[in-house]
Amino acid sequence: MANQFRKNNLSVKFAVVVFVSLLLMAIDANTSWLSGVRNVLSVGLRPIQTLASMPSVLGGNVSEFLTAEPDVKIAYENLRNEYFKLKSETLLLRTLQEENAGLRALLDATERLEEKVTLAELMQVNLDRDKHRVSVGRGINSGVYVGQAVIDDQGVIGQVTEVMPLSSVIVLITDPSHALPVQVERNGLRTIVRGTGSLSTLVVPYLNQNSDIKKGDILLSSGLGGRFPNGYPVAEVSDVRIIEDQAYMEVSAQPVAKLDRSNHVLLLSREKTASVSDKERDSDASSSLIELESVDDGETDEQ
Amino acid sequence: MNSKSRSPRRIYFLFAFTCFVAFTLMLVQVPDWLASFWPDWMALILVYWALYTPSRVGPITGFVVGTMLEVLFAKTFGVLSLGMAALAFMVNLSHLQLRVTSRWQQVFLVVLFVAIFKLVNLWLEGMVDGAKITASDWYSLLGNFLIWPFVNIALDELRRAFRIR
Repeated sequence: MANQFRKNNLSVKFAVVVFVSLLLMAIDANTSWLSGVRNVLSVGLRPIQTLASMPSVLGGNVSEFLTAEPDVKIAYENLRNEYFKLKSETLLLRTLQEENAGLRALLDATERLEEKVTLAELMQVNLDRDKHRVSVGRGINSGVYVGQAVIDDQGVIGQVTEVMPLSSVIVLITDPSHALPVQVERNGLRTIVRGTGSLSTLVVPYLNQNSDIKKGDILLSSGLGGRFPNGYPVAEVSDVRIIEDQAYMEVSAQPVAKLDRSNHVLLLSREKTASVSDKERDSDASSSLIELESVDDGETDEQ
Repeated sequence: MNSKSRSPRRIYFLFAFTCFVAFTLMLVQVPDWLASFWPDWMALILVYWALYTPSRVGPITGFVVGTMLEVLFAKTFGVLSLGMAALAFMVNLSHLQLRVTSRWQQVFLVVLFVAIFKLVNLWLEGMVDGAKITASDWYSLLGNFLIWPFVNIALDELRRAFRIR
């Protein structure tokens, strides 16, 4: 009798839990009402993340400690050379920037938005078996927001999808559910690249058979959609295949960013520099659209 | 009621501790070749406690643990918690049979339960995020199969040391 009662009791408990879970699922999938709960819990669970990242961090430290001095010297030399090279390029860049601003003023185009950059360190934890989502140690406390573009020193890495008080989650451009608008550097052809699930391949779908794209083309983020600022390298076309009886070409590309190797990433925020008013900030998506159109026209004229 | 008075508050401490260890093991970065075979640690730990202390660890505990996992892995709320609750429920229902079977049979049954948990979980995830179920999702069952006997023995020892029945 008592056993029977316990079993019924268990079933009731289970039924209630299933109901609550389904309710939570429906709420969390469609709204952001539960983000507060998630935030509070995530702060409480932070020690676990720190502990779990320990082995990787320690491994890094040990290999750093064991690096021979000559190697460090060579690395130092390389870094110094690179630093001076970049420094001199920056000098040139500043003049170009001014010139560009002047030309834009002449054309009556809006100023290019400047991005504020935040450096973030990846947390060495494993969120996903296929590693298409990574966690970084910056969150609401550093002003991270959902939709922020993430790059490394080579190119675009992905975007922020989830922000918690002390950390946030980035989805990589290689995630099968991720796509971003790009344009071909050589001729301004606009298209999108989509992730495939493999860290080394992206696909460029929906390109007509007569599209001008070839192996070795660099794809830059186009700025359409307003998520990713324009002009950052995304991928290099690695294979173009034309199959006679299909509507579209099969184009694959290789990401230029070091998706699985970088330990630090840069978060770009669309904070406006003081000179541009709030009104213009609101229209930044449309302005980048216009800007692209004009670039495109110029290119076609040349041809 | 009698069984509750036998093992005092120590069990909560021990359960929380093993959960903490399991969370850490699940989050830790492992080499690529090992990653797909990496066991579902939390599921195994939950199976153990639901099997040997069914009066304390059941669907509601599973739900709470699942919610914590969802926060840690930034998944949609409700997906893992439903799976974990179902796992604890199944084990609770059949804990008498599971306890008396041989080690071998027990391993197969535990892996079967964890497989059902994974199926529920992947199915719900597919509904919410549109994720597809791939073959590599199931490789971890082999890891579970290999690691369960050791988890069982280690936790038995721990339970004995803390005198929890």
